[in-house]
Amino acid sequence: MLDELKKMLGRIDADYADLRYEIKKETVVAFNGTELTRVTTNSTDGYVMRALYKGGFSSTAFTKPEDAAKAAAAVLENAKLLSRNIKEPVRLAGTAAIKDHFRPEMTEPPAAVTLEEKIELTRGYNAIPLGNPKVVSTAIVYNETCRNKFFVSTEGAEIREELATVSISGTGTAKDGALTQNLNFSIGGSEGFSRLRDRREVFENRTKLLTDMLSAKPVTGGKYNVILDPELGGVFTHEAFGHFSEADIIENMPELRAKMHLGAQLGSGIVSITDDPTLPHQLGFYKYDDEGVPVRRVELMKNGMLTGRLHSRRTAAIFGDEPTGHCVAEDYRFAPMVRMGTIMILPDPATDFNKLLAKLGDGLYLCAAKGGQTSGENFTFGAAYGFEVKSGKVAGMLRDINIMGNMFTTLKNIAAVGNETELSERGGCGKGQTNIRSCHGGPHVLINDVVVGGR
Amino acid sequence: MKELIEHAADTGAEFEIYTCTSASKELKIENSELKDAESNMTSGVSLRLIKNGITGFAYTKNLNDPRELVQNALASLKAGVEAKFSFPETRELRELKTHSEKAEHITAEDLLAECVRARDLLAKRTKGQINTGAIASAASYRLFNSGGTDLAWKESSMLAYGSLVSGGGDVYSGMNAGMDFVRLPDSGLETAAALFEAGRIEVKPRSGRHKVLFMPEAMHTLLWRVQSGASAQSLFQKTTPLAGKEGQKVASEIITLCNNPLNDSIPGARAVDDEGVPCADFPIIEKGVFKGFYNDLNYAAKTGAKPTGNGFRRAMWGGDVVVLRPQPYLAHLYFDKGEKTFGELVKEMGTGIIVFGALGAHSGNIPNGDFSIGLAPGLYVESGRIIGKAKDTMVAGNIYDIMSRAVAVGCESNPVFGNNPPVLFDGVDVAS
Repeated sequence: MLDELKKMLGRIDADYADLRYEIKKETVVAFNGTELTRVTTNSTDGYVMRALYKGGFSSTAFTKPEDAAKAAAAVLENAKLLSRNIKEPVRLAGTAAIKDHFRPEMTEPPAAVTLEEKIELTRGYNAIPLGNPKVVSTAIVYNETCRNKFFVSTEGAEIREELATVSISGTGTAKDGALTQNLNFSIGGSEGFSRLRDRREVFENRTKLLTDMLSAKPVTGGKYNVILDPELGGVFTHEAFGHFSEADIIENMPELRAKMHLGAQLGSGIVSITDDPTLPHQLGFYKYDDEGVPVRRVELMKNGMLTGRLHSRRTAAIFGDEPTGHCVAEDYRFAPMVRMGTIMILPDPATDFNKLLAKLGDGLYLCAAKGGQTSGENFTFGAAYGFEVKSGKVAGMLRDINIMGNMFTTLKNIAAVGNETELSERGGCGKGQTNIRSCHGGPHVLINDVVVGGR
Repeated sequence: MKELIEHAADTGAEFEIYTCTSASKELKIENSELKDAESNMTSGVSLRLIKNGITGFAYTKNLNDPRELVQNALASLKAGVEAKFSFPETRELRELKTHSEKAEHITAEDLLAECVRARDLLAKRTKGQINTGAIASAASYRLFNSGGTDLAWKESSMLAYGSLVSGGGDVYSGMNAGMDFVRLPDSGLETAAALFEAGRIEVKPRSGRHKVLFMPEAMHTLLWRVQSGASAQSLFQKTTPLAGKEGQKVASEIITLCNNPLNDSIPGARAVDDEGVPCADFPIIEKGVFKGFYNDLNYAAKTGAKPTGNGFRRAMWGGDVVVLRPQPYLAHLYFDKGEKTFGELVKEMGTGIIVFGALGAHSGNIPNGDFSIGLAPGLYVESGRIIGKAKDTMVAGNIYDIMSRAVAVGCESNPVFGNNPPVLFDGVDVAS
């Protein structure tokens, strides 16, 4: 395959070009309530060609190999258009032309497990919430995604990388009279099917929380000091800060870029943040990005000071940094863009959860992510449930919680972080493309003066 | 295709073949400089089978081996996913204008020229970060099934935007869409510039209940929740608060919310859904009264209803039509227009919030109709005048609750947002 790709690439008269071919195999098993609604195993494939011509850099996605010449003409035409009309020619930061075939070690490759077993495991977990009479519905899905990627470039890179993620995730819905509540379930990772075995306690615990939410009080909107649990703290780190560590987001936002210069003191002294896709078994794990650059751990913030950014080759050249290997595509339909891998606030060994509660005094303890979004400096995300905290003691359960804030204000309002780290088992970032391998987490985080918007 | 039909027929199953071939070009200017020029050419085919009341599904991007696609679909039958419906026989499509040949001749240079024109106009009106962009696309579809349906249709569109971005990242945009080349109206760009200027002043609104005007740009916050509540899937799964409320009042009588797939004055009109069921215009809520649930073939059968022509291969965030199976989806849900201009709505509001962008519309308890959104951006209005940007503010509520307190509906709309007008609600929770 690599030789065929090199032949296709040979047709482009450009300063630089690369071609990624990808076979994506997906297995999906879906239950809605007791009903098995979907079982599919499919393989799709396609190509993304990129070309740099006199400073113009463009890409074309195509699915039919016989369209390769047409794609080459289109990408070159666009690169030339860009070249004629841009002030700053694109440059690509240097990287080694690697030849490698990377297959991560797996404890149990999902391909070795029968479809019947995948269905039965999913059915078993789905039955846990459904066993509770208050749960009226579930939507639980087994998802297995294997990306077999082939990458060649005119610089001589020849990389094949095979990545697989598995997850069982979804939602349970409980009802009491007119009140409906729902809560996510999620287990998954990149070390193979074994990640999904013997995980009943996750579904049992979440089912209890889901039905407890029916007795919770709606939160009253206002400004609070809050503790975010690791799941919600991870979403905060991803949404409120992480996206602005992606160099392609801030490169053309002059005011934000000026504020986010390396060395800027953006957070309180307790905040240190890294992105580390090299952590094995996590959703965010990979070795090479979709530009053929080996990924590395990046320290983004150290004691509140901005110390790094996530880069593609293009943005690394713009910022005068080294590439970090964070230029990733959802699949063969997309050109890669800068993405987080596994981002987290680092824990503070001196502060356990009880110390955090004592420091909070009166406020809210917010738990379980329910989607987040960023717009400029502002972010918002939902918490599935939470608790009032009075005099450092966790009290009544709350529901219908959303919070919003400004990145700079909120980073400075982080008063403490806990000593234990948990990473999410549910990916899914929607920055133009869906990245199921987006992983985040961290410790509990205490933040002062957060706007809480009720339901 | 012929070979695939033959192999599918050989299985003895009912079958449905869906193909899509599409091409697009996209240009982006960021911070006044040309940033991207990209294109794509994709295709794909999916196959559904129904045999002995069990359904199978498979898809591929390259139909190199039709036999393999059929085998994959047959293999998925083993899982025993029930199907209590048959593929319909639809011989003719209602004639709609969904495609313009001119769209296929739009060049990257054409897109660039419009992006540059919009950039230059905005630059004359105000100082700020300017982003503009345009995307032109065309697609052709074919739907063939063993019930006698063999339909083909084409779609085309161009979408363009010109935006001003504040230092904090709030976006104020003028937009337009059409079936072939469209210009961004100068008036829309000038409005965006005026709102951007108004938003330079930051205001801290008082927390409490206020009048809130949802602009078309933020209307998906409400539409997603109605879509969830009025779906036969939610009815079947007992998760909708609209169960048993057909014919009952669920909103103010000034609210009429319709499924309008046959409206071909804007891109995306459909004569038939993705399962071959003819589409129809019908109200979901008419003068405040809930009229009934929409469905696809699967949930029509499960709920004992007649198919409504709403089986679309779509998900909340769009998705790949070949990879997705049809599910109940309201792809053309619009509020009926009222009579008030934007200026009249602002005056009527007195004091309140205008929501131009919703952060977090996808989170919260959607089945229950609850929402809680950050404003990105939202403008604060006092005594009928826009005072400035509402800083660090959220609005929250339940759509069935606030729709009962709708006080006015606007008369202006934008094709990019499905011709939805602005709608003014009273008594919406605001936290700041």
